[in-house]
Amino acid sequence: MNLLWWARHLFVPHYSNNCKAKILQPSVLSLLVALFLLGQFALNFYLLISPSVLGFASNITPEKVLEVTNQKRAENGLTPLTLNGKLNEVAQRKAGDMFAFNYWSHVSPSGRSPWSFFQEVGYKYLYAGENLARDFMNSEAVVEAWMNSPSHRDNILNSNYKEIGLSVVNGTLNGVETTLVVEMFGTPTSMPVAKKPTVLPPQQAATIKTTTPTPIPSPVSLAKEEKVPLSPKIALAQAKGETQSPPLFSPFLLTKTIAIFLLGLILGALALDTILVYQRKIIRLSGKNVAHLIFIGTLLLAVILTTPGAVL
Amino acid sequence: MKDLKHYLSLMAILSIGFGLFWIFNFNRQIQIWITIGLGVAYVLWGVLHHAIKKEFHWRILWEYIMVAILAGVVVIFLLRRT
Repeated sequence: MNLLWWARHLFVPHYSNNCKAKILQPSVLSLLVALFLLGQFALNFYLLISPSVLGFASNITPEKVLEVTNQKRAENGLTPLTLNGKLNEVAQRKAGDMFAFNYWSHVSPSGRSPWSFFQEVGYKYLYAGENLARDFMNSEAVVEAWMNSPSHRDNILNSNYKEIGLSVVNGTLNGVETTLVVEMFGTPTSMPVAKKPTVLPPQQAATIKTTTPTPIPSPVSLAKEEKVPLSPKIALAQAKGETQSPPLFSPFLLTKTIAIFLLGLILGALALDTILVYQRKIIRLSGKNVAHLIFIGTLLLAVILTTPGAVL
Repeated sequence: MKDLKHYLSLMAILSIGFGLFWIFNFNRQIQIWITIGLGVAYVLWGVLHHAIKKEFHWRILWEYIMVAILAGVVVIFLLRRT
């Protein structure tokens, strides 16, 4: 049995494979699933023992995120949000907490909510909200992704919010270099609002009203011209007047390449099998190749169109 | 083409799923659930299609399940990478 025999056995309907390409039979499909999973777990293990080796570089700046956010508000007839130093600190602490405790969520594994960071820095609010993003290439893409998500869009276009704090921090999350963007919204209790505050659904991008408004707020200084605190890495890169160097390769792109190859291989095998079965008028007990082609083709398209980045 | 209605219904299901996948771009959790839903819908379509044509067999069911698992696992692990 030589290589040619194996190639035919795998890809061509023949008596040796019961007239169905072996690669399309459940036994080989399950083997491919197992190999793919094994590869993914091996990659996870590698990331665990060699954190920060693989990574993701971005060119996001808090200033640009603020500019685009306010641009979106202006397009919708809303007043711009004012940058606030305390909210910047809230955003910075939230990003630091996510890296420190290795999580990607509005609430930490220990149950710590974003609002505890507001209390920590002494920002007393009537309204507050949080938008999170990770692994985007630039500031415009971050805001665009938020605008495409109804709950995050509601936060950006919420007329109740008057102030904003931003943080863009690089770090290692689950062994992978990640750029986290934290956008905190707030309206301090010292700021008059047009109408009585109402409780918004908690799932609406984690927008809440304080349950016990403090009658005497501490002075909340607006920091219109305050510079957003940057992560040391970004600050260093900006000081040098350079953008961050591209990574060696990213786990996302590696997985995407493998996914395209695997689904493409199956798609090709299906197409060949369909043609040969039709030409040779083979009658067999089998699933419908055309259906498999449509299904795998759709998911392959989804894989190709998937780009790095997530919002929460 | 034989079974045109069946294939049109499959394409409708997949188009809706793909549309939702696109709408919820970057909402990874929702996209993962959409992928799982598409896989389940595909297996159900396969069962119904072959049952209607009176050619259902457990080996066919197993084939649809494995195709759905392979494609689904690949997409889900990619979505989890970001």
